[in-house]
Order: sequence, then C-alpha cells, then structure tokens
Amino acid sequence: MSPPKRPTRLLATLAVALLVTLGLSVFIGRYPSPYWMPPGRLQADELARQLVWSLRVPRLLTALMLGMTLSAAGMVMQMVFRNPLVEPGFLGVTHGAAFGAALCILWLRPNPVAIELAATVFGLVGMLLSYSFARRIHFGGWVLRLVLAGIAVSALFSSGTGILKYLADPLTQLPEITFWLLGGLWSVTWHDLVFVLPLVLPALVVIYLMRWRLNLLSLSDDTAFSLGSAPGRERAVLLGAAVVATAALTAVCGVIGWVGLIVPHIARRACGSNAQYALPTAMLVGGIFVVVCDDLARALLPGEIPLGILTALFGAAIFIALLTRATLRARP
Amino acid sequence: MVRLQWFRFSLLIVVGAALSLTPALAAPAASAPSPFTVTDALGRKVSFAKPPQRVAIAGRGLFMISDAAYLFPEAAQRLVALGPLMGSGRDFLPLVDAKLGTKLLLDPGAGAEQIVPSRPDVVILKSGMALNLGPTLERLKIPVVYVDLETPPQYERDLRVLGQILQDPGRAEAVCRYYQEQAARVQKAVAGIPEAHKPRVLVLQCGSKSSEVGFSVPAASWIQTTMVTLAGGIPVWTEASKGAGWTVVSLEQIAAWNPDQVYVVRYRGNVQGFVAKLRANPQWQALKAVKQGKLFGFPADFSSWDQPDTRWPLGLLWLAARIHPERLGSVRMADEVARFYTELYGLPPDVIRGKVMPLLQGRL
Amino acid sequence: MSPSSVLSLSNLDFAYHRALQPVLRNLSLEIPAGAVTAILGPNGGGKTTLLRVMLGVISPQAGAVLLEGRPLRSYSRREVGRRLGLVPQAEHIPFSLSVMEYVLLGRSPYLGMLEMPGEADFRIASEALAELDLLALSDRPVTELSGGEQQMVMLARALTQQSRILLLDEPTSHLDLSNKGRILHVLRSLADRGVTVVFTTHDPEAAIAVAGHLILVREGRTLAGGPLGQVLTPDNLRATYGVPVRIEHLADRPVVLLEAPPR
Repeated sequence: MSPPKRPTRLLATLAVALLVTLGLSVFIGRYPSPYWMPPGRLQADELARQLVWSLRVPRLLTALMLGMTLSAAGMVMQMVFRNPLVEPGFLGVTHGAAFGAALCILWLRPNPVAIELAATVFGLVGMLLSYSFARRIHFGGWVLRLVLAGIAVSALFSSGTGILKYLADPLTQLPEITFWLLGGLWSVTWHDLVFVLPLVLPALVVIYLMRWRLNLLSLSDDTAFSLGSAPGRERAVLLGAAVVATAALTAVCGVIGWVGLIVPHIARRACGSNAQYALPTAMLVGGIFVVVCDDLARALLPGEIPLGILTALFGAAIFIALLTRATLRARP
Repeated sequence: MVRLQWFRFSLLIVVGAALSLTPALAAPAASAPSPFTVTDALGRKVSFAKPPQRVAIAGRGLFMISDAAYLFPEAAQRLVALGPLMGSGRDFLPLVDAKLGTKLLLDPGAGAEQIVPSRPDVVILKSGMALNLGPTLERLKIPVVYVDLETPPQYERDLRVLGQILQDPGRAEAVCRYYQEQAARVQKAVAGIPEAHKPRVLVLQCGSKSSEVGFSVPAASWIQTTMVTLAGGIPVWTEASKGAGWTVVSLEQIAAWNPDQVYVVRYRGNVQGFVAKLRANPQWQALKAVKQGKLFGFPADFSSWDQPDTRWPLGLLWLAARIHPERLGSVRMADEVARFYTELYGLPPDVIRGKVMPLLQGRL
Repeated sequence: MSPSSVLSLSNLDFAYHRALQPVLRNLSLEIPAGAVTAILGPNGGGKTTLLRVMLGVISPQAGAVLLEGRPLRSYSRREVGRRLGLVPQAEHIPFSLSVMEYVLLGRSPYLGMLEMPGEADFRIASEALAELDLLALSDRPVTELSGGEQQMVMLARALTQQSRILLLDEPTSHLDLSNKGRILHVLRSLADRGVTVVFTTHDPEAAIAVAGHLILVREGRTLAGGPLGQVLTPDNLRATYGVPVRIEHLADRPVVLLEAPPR
C-alpha cells in the first residue's frame, strides 16, 4: 500500500511558477517606459541597474515575504481556530498596527523607523489585549472567547484610528494615513527588508517545521491531549510566530487584507486539507499572488495603486469564484 | 370650573399656534430688498440687512481664508471667531492681529454650537463645507458666505467678496492689482517661449516617512500645476494625478519622466535638509535634474509657498525665476518678500526683519 | 492500590468551576490491567469527566490519579500519550483529512514537535486500518464517512497509537447493530492481546457483551466496582439508574430488563 500521495508535482510546478514570476517581475515597472523594460537595458543603463537593485529587488522580496507570511499565518489561524473564515489580522493585530502607525504619523517627527516600530508594537499589543480579554470571558469554548475578544479589540483600535484620521491634518497627514491603511510597498527599501527579515524568517521556519502538528491542533483539545500533545503550548508557539511575522510586515507594508483569508482556501482545494502539504502550497500560491498584485500596483498606472485594493479586488473575485463553483466533493 | 379649564386650554392652543406662525410671518419681511447682496463662490446671493460687524471664519482650510481676510485692516476689528489655527496660523496671525487673544478660537471640527456663542453676523467658509456646516448655520439664521481661493481667478473674485463683507472694496481692488501685477510680470517675462524650450518640471511632496523613493504629486487641477504653467514650465506629472488629491508615485516613475527640474515640497519639517539628502543619493544623482543642479526645495516662511495661500505670488515669482533665470534674473526675492508683507499685511520693517526673514527656508 | 490495577483513582473531587456543582465527588476506582472494564451509569453522571481526569486533561481539586503506580502528573504529555489512548464519542473535524492522514495522527506521541510521520509510522497506520478492515477507505475524506465508519476510524487512530490502555467514551451509543457488534468484537480481541480496555457506556448490554469488570457510577460517585458477575445485580442497577430492573439469564448471559410499569 503506498503512502498518501504527495503533491510533489503541484509543489514543483508552483515553485517554478514563483521563480518565473519573480524573474519577470524584475523587468516590470515604469522605467524607462511603462510596463516592460527590455533586459538589455540593464547592461547599458547605470540608472536602470540602480533602480532595479535599490527599488525593484527589495520590493519584490518584500512582496514575496508578505505573500508567504500572510498565507502561512492565515492557514495557522484557520486551523488553530478551527474556522475557515479567519484572517491573520483578526486578533487585533492588523488594526492595532494601523492604529500605531497613525499615531506615529500624527504626533511624532516623520521617521520611518518610528512608524515601523510603533506599528509592530501596537500589533503585538492588540494580540496580547485580545488574549487577556479572552481569559476573562467565562462562557464558551476558548475558540469562541478568542474570536469575540479579537473582534472587540479590533473594533477598539479601528475606532481609535478613526479618531486619529479625524484629527489629522487633511493636507499633510490624512492622505498618508489613508494610503497606509490601504497598504502599499511604494516606499520599501533594503532598510525595511533588513528590519523585517529577522522577525519574519524565523517565524516562517517555525511554522513550516510544525505544519504537521497543525492537523492535530485543529481537532479538539481532548484529542490533542490524548495524542500526547500539549495543545496550549504548541498553539502559543504557532500563533506567536504567525502574529509576530504579520505585525512586522504590516508595519512596513500597511494593511493588506484578503490574502490570508483566500490563499489557504485555494491551497486546500488544490491539494487537500493536510497541512503538511497545504501549508507549503499556500505559501507558494500566496507569494505568487502578492508579487503579481504588486507588479500591477506599480506598473499599471503612472501613480501607485494601493496594494490592499488590488488584493481585495482579486481576492474577493477569486473567493466568489471558489464559492460558486459546483464541485461534487466539496472540501472545506 | 370645567368651562374655565376649557377656556385656558383653548387659549394655550391659540397662543401656541400664534407663536409657531410668527416665523412664517417674519420670513417675508426678511426677504424684502436689503441694501447689501454678495454673490459667493457657489453663485448664491447672500443678502444683509446691514453691513456685518461681527465676522467668523471656520471649517477646513482655514488658513487660506484667514490669511486672505487679514489682507484687510478691518479684519482685526471685525473678526470675532476663527479656527482651527494650525501651526502656521498660530505663528503668523499674532503678528497681524494684536487682539487675536480676545477672539474666540475654534477647535478643529467645531460645529455650529461652538460658533454661535460669538454671535457672528456672517460666517465665511470654504465651499467644501457647503454640505454640512454651512446649512446648519443657515438653519440658525446665520448667513454663510462661501469662498474657494484655490486658483488665481478665484482669488480675485473672492477677494472682492471679502472686500464687500468687510466694507473696504477699495482695499480689495488694491490687493487684486498686486496679484494681477505679479502674475502679469511673470507672464510677460516668459511670453513667446516656444514649447520645445520650456523645461519639463516636476513638483513632489515628500511623504511623512521621509522616504527617498516614494513621493506624491499634486492633482492636475491644483494651483501647483497652474503655477508651473504660468511660470513657463511644462508640468510632467499630470498624467499620474487624474484624481482629486495627492497621488503617490515611486522613484521609478520619476526616473521615467526624467524631468529637467524638480521641486520638492515639505509641509512638516525642514525641506533643505531633505533635499541635501536627495542630492547625496546615488539614484537621484543619475537624474537629469540633479546632474544639472536643478533640484530645489520649495521655499516657505510661515507656510509653504506652493499652496493656494495668499503667498502664492511669491511662490510663482520664485518658481519663474528658477525655471527661467535668463528672463527673471532681476528678481530679488528678499525684496519681494519685504514688499509683500509691507504692502499686503502692513508689517513694519523691524518685524519683517526680525520675525519673517529668519523663517525663510529654501535658497532664495 | 492492588498490584494488578494499571490505573487508579482515589478520592477524586472535581468541579468545572467553583460556582458550579461538583461533577465528581470523592470518587475512587481501580482499572485492572489487561481486561475490559466498563464504566456504567446514567447520562450526565460524570463519565466523560472521569475519562478526562484519567487522561490528565483536567486536574481534580482533590484526590490522586495513579498511572502504572506513579502519579499521572509525573509523566510528560508524550509519555502519557504512549500509554493512554482515547477514542472520543464524536469528533468535530473542521478540515477534512483523508482517513490515512487522520489515522497517522495517532503516531504523534512518538514524534517530536518538528517531526513528521515516516515510513515506519505509515506501516503501523496501515496495519491498524487493515485490522479493522478499513483499508479500502484510506483515501476517502473523513468527513464523508458514516457515523459508524468514523467511529471505526477513530478506533484505528487509537490503535496506531499502540497504547497499552485504551479509553473509549460511549463507543456504541450512536451505532447500529452491525457496527456495534464489530466494535465490541475488536475490543474483546484487543483485551486478549493484553491491551487494557476501559469504556464508558450507559447501555448495560454493551457492558455485558465484552466487559470482564464493571464499575457503576452515579452522580460523580462510584456505587460499586469489581468483576461483572458480582457487580451486576438488580439492586446495584436500581441504585444506579433509579428504576427497577430484572436480570434474567439467557444461555449463561445475563440480560437486563426494565421492570414493566404497573398497568
């Protein structure tokens, strides 16, 4: 009897597709002319080389990490919370980060490091608040408690951000806050990447290595206990990794939604719900998705389109397509 | 007994009805022809029974209206409430109004309830407030006059409206003459330059992250675009900014445009330091504008000169002198600044020297 | 604690919350090794809570739980997982794995936090499926199985765990006759192989069919415990269920009948 079939062909195809997408994206942009730069130009033009190296490459790498992280974090959250409608940011992480960034834009000197730090810190604060509120709720299982606490904390931060938007100077600060809330990689440099990498890479590695145990954690606590796991501890590790990575990337890229919600669904449809294979699939699909969206964001029009708008647009379209397709065997 | 109660009750109804009808009776009297009618920016005709003695300014974009109002010496006496005062207003207005402290300073987002206690005879708002604050005030029987003050023609029109309200039309004409004269000076200087010789100009605002790779460009309909065109340049960014606000562009797009001249605006913080950083950036050094030494920070005193504020002629002059130095080389900005504040705001020379000149950023 | 008992609970008190009624009151019982023990009692009597205490999922407010002579707390979770297996009554499975992937989860007590099942684990899982005649279902999603098939698959997972003690929570309650028969047959053969089987049930017939030992539990207390023949008396059953019963013997097997209510 053969072991459960590994979707190696699917994973290999996706990996190749990702590399091809990255390779092509290096030549997509607005310089020297809209959309496509002939590769020969790289050799001839010093400015082209500089732009590609200092702008496009860090931006592509950040988009790749964003896609992989949001998808991995989304899958972790969906399995840990046993709820396919959960997003990485919903534990108050995204709204907390948004609040932190708005606070910084409003009241501190314009300082990129400060904005990133504030967003990360407040993202984590949001998660800790959700967690401590959840512990004080005395009804419902722990999943319900965390979901309720997450909704409440997100609402708190989101109204706080609303107040900040109201107080912001419409001339100088409000457009900045609004653009940040819609998400965009337009000012990403190597410096931002260096800030983000030490937080994101270890988190992704941890999640990747623990992916088989996600299956276990998606079952009831009693079952997990009986199978020799300490579900509280393992959940904490996985959630912590997911949240730290998400908060760090939100600090740099702004609020990007829908990726963490949709891509795990696509991955599960493609190769089944076993996280051992679904997680790497999700990471690859997420990477491709965000890189393509970012290519469009920076190359389609002379002005930048906020990335969050494109991911929401395509994400929602794909979501509708997934939901309405009539499949005989509907796998969640 | 019952009949007495019935009588009281019906008396109450009659009195109540009479009271409620009174406003309706009073209204026709108010629409009788009056000595004073102003046509505001939205084309509305606002009538005044007698000249307004108490003027309030409120709502968003206040600094544009308040700076324009203080062009008239009467403003210091007639204004009773204004706000919110942003940073530039807080620094500048005390210089032109010694009695600023006695006026009601409104908070950001102040509603009708906060304005009404100052009992204004008229409230001046930007036309964008016509959707909310304006109608509320009018329901409370306070006349509202809308102004735009966003483009040069609008300046002339709205200055005349302000002159009517502050009963100094002569002053309005004098100020309009100044604006026309400055604009004509620039237009004459750059007249006849063929399109091919006009430099391609880019105006950028730096974002709050002080990023060296992400900027925004003004909307195509804004005064910055007009100023560049008037000054004899070609604004390259209009294809990107079809929207109504600032549009974000990346360094790639800036490099793709590769303009001849780049002007950087920074509303918060020192623009010169930032421009120096850009000049040191190797990617920026590869751009034509930096190679030719045509990367400038837009000057500012109390507020940046690129905005639709009363200072826009200074911005225009400075811009034109930079875009076409061969034609406007005789312009000496220090003199122009002194003239502006003396003629338009009546500031004494020692104040100009002591308070205004030190603020000047940007190489003049 | 008697030398042959593998799991021993003494004087357990447990309540889910201070403000709530205690679920277990001064409960003591012993599970003998290598036999099939049935814990019989009415619904809501605390049987599921009992299993959770045995597993170490919850800690009693008072009392001791000894596993193979040592306090349960002294074992790490993985050690407990290798000794105690659980077949829950029902399981909510939010993301559907295939049967094989689901059964493979039983190997987790033997895998480190970062490890994944390998060839050997896969072989053990296949053997467990083969033993229960479920190999044909290997690739089907678990959520598409019938209730009885799911119960068997959960049992297969517990078998993959290769634990010495198997706990089952109401294994026959939702099953039709054929599945009930199959499970009880498997439980008997496991006990013959030396596995200690403990199952809770509210149905005396299931207990009678396979159990060698019987423990009667009512309202969080043990009413009686010992070999089945000794414990299964009409008085004990009446005390447990609160209704009069009769025990008849059919071909050497006791059969429990409700006393007919007076017409």
